[in-house]
Amino acid sequence: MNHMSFNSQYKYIPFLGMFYISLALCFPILVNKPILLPFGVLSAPVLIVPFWFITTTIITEVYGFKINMKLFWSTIVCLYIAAFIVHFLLNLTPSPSWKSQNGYEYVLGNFTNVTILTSIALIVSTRANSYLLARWKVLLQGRYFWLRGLITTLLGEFILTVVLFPTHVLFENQTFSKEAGFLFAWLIVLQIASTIILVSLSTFIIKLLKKIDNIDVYDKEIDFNPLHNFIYEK
Amino acid sequence: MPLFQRHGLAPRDFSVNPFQYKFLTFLVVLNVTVAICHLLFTNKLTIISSSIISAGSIPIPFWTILDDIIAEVYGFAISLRIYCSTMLMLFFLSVIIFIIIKIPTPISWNRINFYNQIFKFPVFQIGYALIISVIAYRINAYLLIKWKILLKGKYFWLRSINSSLISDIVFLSLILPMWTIAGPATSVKEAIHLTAVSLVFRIIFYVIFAVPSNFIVNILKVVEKISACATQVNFNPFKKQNIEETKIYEPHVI
Repeated sequence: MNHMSFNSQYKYIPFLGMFYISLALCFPILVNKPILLPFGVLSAPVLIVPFWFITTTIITEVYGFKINMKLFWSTIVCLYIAAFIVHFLLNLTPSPSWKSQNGYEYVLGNFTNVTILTSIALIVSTRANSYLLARWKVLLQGRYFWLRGLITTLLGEFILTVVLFPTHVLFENQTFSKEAGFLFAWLIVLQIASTIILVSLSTFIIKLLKKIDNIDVYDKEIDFNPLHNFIYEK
Repeated sequence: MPLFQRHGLAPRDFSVNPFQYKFLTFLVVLNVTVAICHLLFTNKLTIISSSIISAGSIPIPFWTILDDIIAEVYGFAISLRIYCSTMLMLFFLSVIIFIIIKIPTPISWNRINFYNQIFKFPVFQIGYALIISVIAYRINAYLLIKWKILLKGKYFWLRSINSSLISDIVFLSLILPMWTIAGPATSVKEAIHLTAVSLVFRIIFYVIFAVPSNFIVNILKVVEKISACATQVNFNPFKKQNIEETKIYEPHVI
């Protein structure tokens, strides 16, 4: 009989994985919801972006690049599984007495397209964020998290915003105009402000997680091949 | 002899990578994905084979089977923790969506009703559904684990079908009043019909997927080189699980 400890998994990894997929699913679910801000109208997922990247930053800083990528790829695969389920359930014949099919089609009709676009944007931006953070952690021997976190998070947010900009700004047949450039500039300012606040708060969360899980990973050899982290472990 | 040893594999060396199961992370993320899909389509009524059914109930059997697989392979304590986290995450997502829907929109945009139709979850409805789903989960997990101990880890497919069905009967019986009062049914008759159709659908689903889920469990046991079997589990939902005291071992017969 082979007894073993229950703690064969980091305590908060499953929870962080759930947080990842919940945030990722907010992109296709809320993409058609505009929000009125003082400087213009934007798509609701712009509010999710800073939270996504701060989560990536926290996981990479505490658990390392490899575990972050494992969680991230699981999230991307499940994003597509969700797109399949949503597509299937959306196209089921509605009951004649039920009158909300139009609403479902408006909100979730573009789910698959947005998922494809979002996943591409997330793959590029999250990888850049996580890779740079892990690299700089080794180079700076784990110091200056505030600076590393801020720069890498902002970089990730910038890449994602550039790729997803059409979905963030262009609603219902609107076209690119001077206003779009103005909105982009304001969006970047908004993200910088929110990231400064979130990185400051994340410092405490990181300290707490390192203490609870008794871990502080330094990725001295990062494999940049995206398939390696998912398919096998070194 | 444990299944992985029958395949000529040595027991898992926890000194090499002591903190990570290979597929648990993915199963956890998949679990919450299915749960969110269920949440999204709870208010949609659809017709399958001339019977009206809530589209949100279609992903539920997947969710139940995933919970069974996690409980069978990784043990009750991990399964419980994942279930509670999933519930917490559903609540968290509902709050996020609720807040975002309430953020002011341009006057020219008049489709807020579409979002309200999908995310129509009164507090009472959420609270009640949460309580009865916890009860159903506890019944399912209790029966699955108890029978695993009694049957020495054999016949997962049979245990899974029976425990899932019993918990579903309890769940559907308890959710019947809510479906009548808060929707999606418009009358008692329609609510009873919805419940009956949901149950039949789940029975068919569990029977069809019994063999594939058994196959997945066997693969996971081999790949992860574990088969958790709790001998001392506290099933009291109001008492905190003392995880360190939960003994997990690899049974001689799987």
